[in-house]
Amino acid sequence: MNGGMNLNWTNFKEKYLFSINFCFMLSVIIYGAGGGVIWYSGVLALLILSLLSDKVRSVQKKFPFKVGLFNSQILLFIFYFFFFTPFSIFYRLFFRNKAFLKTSSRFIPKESISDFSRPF
Amino acid sequence: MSYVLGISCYYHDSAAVLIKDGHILRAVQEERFTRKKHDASFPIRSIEFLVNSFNLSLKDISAVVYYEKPFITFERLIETHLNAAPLGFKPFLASVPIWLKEKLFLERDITSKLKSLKGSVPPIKYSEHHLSHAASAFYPSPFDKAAVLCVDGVGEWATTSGWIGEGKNLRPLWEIHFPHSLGLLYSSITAYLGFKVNSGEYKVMGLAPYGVPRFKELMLKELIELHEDGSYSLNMKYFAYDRKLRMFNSSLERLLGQKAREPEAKLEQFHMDVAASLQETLETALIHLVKSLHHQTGLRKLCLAGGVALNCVANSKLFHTTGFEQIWVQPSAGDAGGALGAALAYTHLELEVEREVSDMDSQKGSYLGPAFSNEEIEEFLTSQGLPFEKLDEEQMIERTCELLEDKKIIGWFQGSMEFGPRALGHRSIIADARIHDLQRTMNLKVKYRESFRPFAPIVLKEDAKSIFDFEHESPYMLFVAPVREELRVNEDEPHKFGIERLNLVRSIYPAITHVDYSARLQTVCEKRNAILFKLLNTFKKRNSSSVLVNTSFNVRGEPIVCTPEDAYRCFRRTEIDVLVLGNYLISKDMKLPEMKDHEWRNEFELD
Repeated sequence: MNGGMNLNWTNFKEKYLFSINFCFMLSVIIYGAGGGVIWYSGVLALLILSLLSDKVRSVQKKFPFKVGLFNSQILLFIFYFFFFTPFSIFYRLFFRNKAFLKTSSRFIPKESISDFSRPF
Repeated sequence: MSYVLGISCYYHDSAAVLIKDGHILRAVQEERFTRKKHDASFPIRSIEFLVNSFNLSLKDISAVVYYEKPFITFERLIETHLNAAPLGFKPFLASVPIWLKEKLFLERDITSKLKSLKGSVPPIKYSEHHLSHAASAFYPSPFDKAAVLCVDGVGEWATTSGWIGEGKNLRPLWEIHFPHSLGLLYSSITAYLGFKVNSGEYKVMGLAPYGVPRFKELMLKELIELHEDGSYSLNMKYFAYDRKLRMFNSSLERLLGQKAREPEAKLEQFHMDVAASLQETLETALIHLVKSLHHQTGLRKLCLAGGVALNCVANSKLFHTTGFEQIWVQPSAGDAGGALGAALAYTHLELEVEREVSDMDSQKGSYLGPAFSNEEIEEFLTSQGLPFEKLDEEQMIERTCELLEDKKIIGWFQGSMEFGPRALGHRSIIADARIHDLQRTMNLKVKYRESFRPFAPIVLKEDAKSIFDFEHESPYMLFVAPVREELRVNEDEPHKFGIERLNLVRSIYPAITHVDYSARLQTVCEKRNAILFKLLNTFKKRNSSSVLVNTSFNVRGEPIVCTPEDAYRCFRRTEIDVLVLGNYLISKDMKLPEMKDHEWRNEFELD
């Protein structure tokens, strides 16, 4: 019932340090937000659970990544619909690539090759 | 002396190639080491293998050449999103973060990965994607001057390009740009038919002969427009790859009159008809394009590369219809071959190393991967405590022939591994092509794959003409040819359709004769593959037949075996009867130790 706990420091660090830090940060956030005792008991319960269960620990580790992903998606959403799309309308009017236009020939003459030292 | 390392990675089929003064030394795909089919990861194991094979360190290499210009690809990606906005948010979300995080910093990434090897990191160079393909087709070819055609899904912008190669020079003529792409047309219908993009295309090609091309006219009218000058445009109304995370859209389903097939669902006559129509549409477009290239260049020799050049049925149609008399196709025509082309292009065009044209070609039979000596094989067998029969080469050949006559299926592991998607007789499963029902048995009990898929023959070069209607050489299994009429034994039964036609015996070589009497042949000569030549010659002396079935040594979803260990594992997991590793023979009749990997099928994702 110790969740595979091993008192060897390296193993302990690898297995539990993230969860302890995670719960500590959560407490700091609760303190900052002026949360009551009930919230701290919740964090304590989470800490105990994370010491006992691999699954909880793995969910905890994924959590910041999920939050980051969600945030970046919101940012990209704003960028795409509020900046990129209006710009695309302007771009399509004046600079649209020929490849996307109707034409009677698709051959694009090519006379030389690009320098090997450039990635473009 | 200049060693140049070519690499391709991060899309599919990553590979590394080492060349010295324009001569190909070794080439290998990363998937063969990682055992992950079409692996796209950085080919660090391949590079390690290459430098260790010649006792080199990175300081001996004058340049590392990447097969593509990443910034131009990024430009294409952004322009495509600009064209699609606001409808392309999902693909934008899927692609842009990866580019911003990783792919735009390719040089940093390559450098940091190479730092794990010995020596200082050489300068990183970049070759255009289609230049890499063109170089991989022209430089190893046996032609001093030739037209070159590259057709694939997409590189940076180019999806199709025409070139003229002469001596050490390659001159571009024209390009056709994304989204108009024969490769993506084929991949879109492949996806519609429920097969995986970038790996299921050859299944569609194999499925086509079972169908009737009743949608061909519709496809040529609606999906693709062939322009008078030889170029083509796709009607993007039916395709979605430029704005969605899928290849086609519901308009295509409405056009063909049926919903797309779910993966692994039952194949119906409709699907076979669509495959047949697609194949003929591709052939028509390709012939139209190649005729125009012939007209522009006035040349009689043609080199082909790009993923579409692996369509051996289409390649064969180019012989009598386009004005080109000789055709050479790069055996690793897909992106893995791009690594080879990038290194060759840099060597000849930038370092200006003169090119030597060889009568045969300079691809060395495409046997460019790792090889294992008899001593290494014995060491492996002994270390595993496996029983084996040790023979000399002649005995091994005789014994193999006896086993083939006994209708045994043999895992054949000899010399250097092949570079490219085809097993060309060094990592092959072989059997007598005269056995009835072998196609079904091998598909279902050895390869664990769809029963409709055909098997290819290997035949002595000098006998090819008497068995197939084919006057050329096909050392890399990149052309198909019909079995000669006098060798056919059964006319088609008109009341049978689709898969029902599978079990009909069609020629005296039923295992390799496809439903349309065609076969994807590999001609074998002594200079390219001495041991396979000996085997076929001995088999011919004993049986008056020099035709064997040759299929890649792997199961569905698994890369071709690389090491004796991979070969032994595959042998144990399948109903292969005998394994021939170099001069060592292991049979299922011997007392083999128990293997505890009953869950092995979960190891490979189905392709």
